Amino acid sequence: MKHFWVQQRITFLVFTVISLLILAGCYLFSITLSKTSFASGTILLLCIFFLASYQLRKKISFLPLGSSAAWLRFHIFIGFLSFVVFALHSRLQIPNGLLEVILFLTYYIVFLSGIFGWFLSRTIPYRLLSRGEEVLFERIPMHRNKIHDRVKTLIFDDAQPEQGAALPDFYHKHLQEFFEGPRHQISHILHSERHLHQLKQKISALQPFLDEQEQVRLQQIAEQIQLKDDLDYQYIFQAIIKLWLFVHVPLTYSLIIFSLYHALAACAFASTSG
Amino acid sequence: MTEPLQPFDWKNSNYERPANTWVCGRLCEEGLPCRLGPSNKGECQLQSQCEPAEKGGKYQCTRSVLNGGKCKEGPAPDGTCCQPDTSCQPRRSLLARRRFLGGLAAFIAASFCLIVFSGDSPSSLLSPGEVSQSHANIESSCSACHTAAEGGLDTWIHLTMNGDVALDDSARCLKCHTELGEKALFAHSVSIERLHKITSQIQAKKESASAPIALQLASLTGHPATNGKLACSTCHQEHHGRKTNLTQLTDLQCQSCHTSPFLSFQHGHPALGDYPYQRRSRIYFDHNAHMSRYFKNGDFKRTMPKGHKPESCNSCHTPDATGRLMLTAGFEKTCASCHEPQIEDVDFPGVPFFALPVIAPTLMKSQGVWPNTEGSFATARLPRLMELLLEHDSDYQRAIKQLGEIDYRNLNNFDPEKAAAVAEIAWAIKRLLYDISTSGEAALTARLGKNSALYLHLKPSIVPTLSQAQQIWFPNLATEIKYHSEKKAIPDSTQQKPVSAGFSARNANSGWSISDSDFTIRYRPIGHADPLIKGWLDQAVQENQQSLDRDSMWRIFSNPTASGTEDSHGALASGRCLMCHSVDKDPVSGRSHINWQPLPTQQSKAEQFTQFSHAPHLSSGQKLNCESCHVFDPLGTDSTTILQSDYFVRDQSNLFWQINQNSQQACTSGFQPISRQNCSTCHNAATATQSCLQCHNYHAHRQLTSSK
Repeated sequence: MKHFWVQQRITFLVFTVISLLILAGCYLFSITLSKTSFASGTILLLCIFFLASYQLRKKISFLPLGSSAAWLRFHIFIGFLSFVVFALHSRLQIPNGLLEVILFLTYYIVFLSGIFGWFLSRTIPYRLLSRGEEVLFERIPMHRNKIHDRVKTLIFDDAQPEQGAALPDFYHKHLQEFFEGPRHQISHILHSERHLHQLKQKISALQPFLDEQEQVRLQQIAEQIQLKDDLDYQYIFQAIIKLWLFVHVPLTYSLIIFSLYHALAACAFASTSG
Repeated sequence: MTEPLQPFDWKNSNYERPANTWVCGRLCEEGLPCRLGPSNKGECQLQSQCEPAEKGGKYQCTRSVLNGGKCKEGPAPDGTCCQPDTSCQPRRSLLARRRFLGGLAAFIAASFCLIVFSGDSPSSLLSPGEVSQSHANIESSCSACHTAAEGGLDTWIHLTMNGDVALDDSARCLKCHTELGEKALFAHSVSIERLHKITSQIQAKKESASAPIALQLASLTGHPATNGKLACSTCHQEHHGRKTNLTQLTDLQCQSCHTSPFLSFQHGHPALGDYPYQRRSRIYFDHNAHMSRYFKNGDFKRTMPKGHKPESCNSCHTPDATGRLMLTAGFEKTCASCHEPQIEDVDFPGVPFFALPVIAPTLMKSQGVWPNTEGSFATARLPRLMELLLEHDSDYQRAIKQLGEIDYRNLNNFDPEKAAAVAEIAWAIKRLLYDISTSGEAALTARLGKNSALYLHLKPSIVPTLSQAQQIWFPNLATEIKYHSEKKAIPDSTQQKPVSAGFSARNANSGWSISDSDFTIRYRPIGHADPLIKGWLDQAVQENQQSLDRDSMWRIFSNPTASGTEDSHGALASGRCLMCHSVDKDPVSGRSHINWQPLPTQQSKAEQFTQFSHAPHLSSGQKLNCESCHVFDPLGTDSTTILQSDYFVRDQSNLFWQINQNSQQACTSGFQPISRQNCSTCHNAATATQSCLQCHNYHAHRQLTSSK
């Protein structure tokens, strides 16, 4: 942990120094009436290409280009640095032209989604570790189905003929919908277990009306409810950690296209020399 | 404690390949994936993997271990698979969906860019923002400013690699901004040679000053080429909204090109030198002499009893509409009460342009009318203009050749043979008068030949006065000319006496006068801004010295004899007009012009590096008055000193005036130079009003808006 904080501080220090160097360079460049927009724009374009190349790095993992973790650290570092350069390039002002406004918004969405992803990558793993079993995201429907089958077995197949319909009724009334798919996603995001408590209260309320065997089965069902709820918890957070990329990655492609077009137009229209 | 959800051995793990494009539909819908998963094309592979084979009349399951191994039930008796149809509709994996979304986003972005480009030329959607207010009317026309707007995408790509595109675009700026001159793209709009010269002059006066640290560091990052051309966009950044100030630059940016940078106006700025007096005023006016001597109560009442004494500076100077300049009230309001009589010069009869020589009446018997001019002619020669008009009269030329040295003051003592020649002179003068009376300006044009262009534009014309003189002196001239041309004797009836001597007519509006006392036609200035003198001087200062020496009109006006007084300050015009009106010579073209107005009324070709606005300094809150900055110099030069370096000097003969080629063009206004310290009491870091652009123009040849 100590090593982590030292590393963070060094990274922050390096980031600050590089940012200040870029700001100072552009300021000094502007004094000589040189085109600082082209300088900052070129740096920004290089940053965007580097950031986008992280996706490429994942695809060509067989090449010895460094560890994915190192790439991720650089990706985050350059991402923050790109914001400094972007702020410099756009002078912290919202542009007026349509194309530039779209480019501006695209960058900000990509950047903010990156920040969001960075925040998720810092928080969700801890939350995932805190509850339930870590399972592969793609296997969650299968596990959910298995739990559901187990519950149905406990209620219907293991029931004795003399036992009443209390458990099946309880299942149809309160459990069937719960086990059929991912539920209470908002509550999980908000770290709330209120729904689980309510369900457990209902179970507790039912328990006095059951015989001993039914109570054992109800206890097993309660375990499956906890398992299913943990699975839902895993599902929603793993989904979030995967779905934010649906904003970040596609818009990165748009950003590259817009950036290249903007660079071409700027060079042709805004007079690079002189 | 519940048992773990997932086993990790491959035999017990179902199909999960999330990196593939397709995933099993059953996994997604029911959580019951098959082991195989879909094919790369997104097809379910489950069915095709189970094909029972017949062995010894029985069908056996042939499913491989990889696909789950042989099923317990085995094939049906008819050889069909016992498994129900478990085929599903595979779905795209998350990765594939994200990849698809990425492609879609890129496609939409590219489509948008192409729409913005819209064919052969870019649409207004490409505009990065509104242009400034001054360019708003051309905003819709990209090609008005951009070369790239005239071509397609290929042109754009070509231009990105063209280093001169900025200068090409700048050339479009100059189509409208013609006021910046021909060298607008050079630093400060002056030529490289001129820039080097100015730099050398400044370096010679360089004071030790430390450059700001930022400027020293900035010099390490590179520098725009100051020896070459600078694109307009180097300083003027457009498309930042209507309210953008296109000329705003920081002091460091201004100084980044300069060879002698300094910290600020307050610290390190070079001394102002003689500014603003190093460029003498367009109108010579010695404030010190006037305010300290002429406008003193006692002297003023004695020397100029009818003159008007100004009460304060505001009596003569008021700010213009822009507040930048202090206008000078006109001559009539400020100077006329004292100086009008000097200009009109009532004691001076005027410059003679036409005169009848003294010819004895006995010589003119039977030759028609000839007034009795005896004792009236003042000079030995005819006026120069008259000589010019008679230059191509062959009879006249033959006569003066025959007479030899002649004195026009006395043409009466000749023998009969020469008397005929004298008569020819008289007839030549009569023909001249007749021609001008009947043909007017055309006669002048014909007689002056190539010289006519020089004189005919001078107004008022002499023609009406000559015609009037003909009516007075030779009332029957037409008849006389007719008889003379037919070589007939002139009848006595035509020889009527002209108007008696002593008549004098002067047209107060034209300046021309006919004097019957000496039979001359003279010109005397009608007052301030006399048109003929003004026109002649404008012409004279533009001539070179050699051609001016040969110029007859110049000799007329520059001859002190012609002016009537040997001790006058100068020739008629130069002595009067150029005592107050200065002459400027363009350093580039070498052409001179007289400053008739106190402020420039035409495009100034002189370098204007500095500007100053009076109104803000005189506003009530500033507690300043004129004397706060303009302090009289008790050692200031007087008008005599000024004239010693005036534009005109006498030649070696001391008879004529010539243009002073080495004129210092110096004129003090009688004030001490304004010191930088005086300005910096207000313009300092505390008030944050010491920007370079407050006082300095970048475009030194920019046309200034004059205020009348």
